Amino acid sequence: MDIVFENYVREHSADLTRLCVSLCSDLTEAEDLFQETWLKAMKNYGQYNCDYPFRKWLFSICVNTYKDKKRLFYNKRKKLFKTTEDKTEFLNSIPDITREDCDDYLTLHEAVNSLPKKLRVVLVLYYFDDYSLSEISDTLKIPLGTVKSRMNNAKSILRRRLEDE
Amino acid sequence: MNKKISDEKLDSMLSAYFKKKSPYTFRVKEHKKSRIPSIPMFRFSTVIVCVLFAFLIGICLDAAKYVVVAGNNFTLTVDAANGETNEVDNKFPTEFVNVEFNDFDKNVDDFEVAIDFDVHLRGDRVQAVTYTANYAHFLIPQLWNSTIRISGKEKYGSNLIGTTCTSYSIDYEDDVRYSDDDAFDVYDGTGDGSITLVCRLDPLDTRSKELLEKSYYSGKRMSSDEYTELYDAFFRNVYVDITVTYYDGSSETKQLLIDYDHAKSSFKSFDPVITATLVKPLNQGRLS
Repeated sequence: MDIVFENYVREHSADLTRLCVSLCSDLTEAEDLFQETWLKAMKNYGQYNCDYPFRKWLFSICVNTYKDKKRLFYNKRKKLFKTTEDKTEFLNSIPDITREDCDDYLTLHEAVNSLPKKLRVVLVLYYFDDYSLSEISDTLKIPLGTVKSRMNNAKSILRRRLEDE
Repeated sequence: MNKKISDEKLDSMLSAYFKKKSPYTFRVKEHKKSRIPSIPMFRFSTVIVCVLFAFLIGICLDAAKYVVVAGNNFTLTVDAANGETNEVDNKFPTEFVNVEFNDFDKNVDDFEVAIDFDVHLRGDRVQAVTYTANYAHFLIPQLWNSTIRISGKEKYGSNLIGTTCTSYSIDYEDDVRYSDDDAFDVYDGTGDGSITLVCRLDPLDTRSKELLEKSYYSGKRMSSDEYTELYDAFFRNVYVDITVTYYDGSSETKQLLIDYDHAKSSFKSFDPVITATLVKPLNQGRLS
């Protein structure tokens, strides 16, 4: 790796980790996605246009890699927290959380993790890194209308889960 | 007891959720040598397996070719407001040989259709209907009181018209039978057939037209009262019919009910999509 690329790795690894963990419900899957994203970034670094923020370029590689991965057959019900410590760690990681909100966030976590991939990607980009809808459309190479309808579907599903809980 | 979650509450929860700190930071790993097979690993048995595998792929591709040939035509018909019809016949690009079909074998109570159309106009004539249909595109005056029919066979509607994209997402309530990205899936139990969505917008009154022109053309912001007035008028004037044509040539049409309240509430956050519910349940792949 050249020096410039190494600096990029240092600078963006933490955020890329967060993105991968947000996208994948499983840590091993998230780490695989992380490695694959950097590998692709390294291989295609020659095509990177410096006028475009590296972070956005890297994230677009990441979400497209995630999107292209084989779709899971139906929503697998995964055990989201293996131990109570995991659960506490998750709740502590959410900024400004109140005791009353804890159950809602646990439900939200479960609901987000069971969302279909195509809905989840849109949601993650919108909230994780404040992408605009048109930026999401460019990144995922899907029409703006589709981004809007997916966003709407994702939020409807989450709302229903939270309200039913 | 069911509680209500407001848009603002959901937004703030999602922001906090996705901006949560991560206790982990992965490190970039060097590639393990063991991942790259060395030459001696290609033994004779490996070669035999590869040949057999290639042979099987060949058979599959050959079969897929017939599938595509069986249904590679589509017709797109647009009846513009002025009564002219623009019909386009085309073939599916050959690279989409990997057509998959989804067996529609589950009972579903209802489903939502998010319909997005983008209408390309040349002068006052409809040149092409390209993709999805954020209903806002219906606000094009030339299309008032017009009927748009888009029918496609099989999937990968994304290349129905040149390089543009046709996309429907047919989402089944509480199920994961979502259509693939930009794909146009037809569920009819046999793995073939077509689906036609007919959206009709009845003429709006003069006041609504004025409001539309204000928002669509001048880009001026409407007051919330004006929005309410416009969308009340708009959603009460849209009808969506869905026709499923089966492999044997028979077809059935049902009108979809516009979920008015849902569409209206969606508008608070961004442009709504029309959410429609089939009047009667879709059962075993048949409209019943």
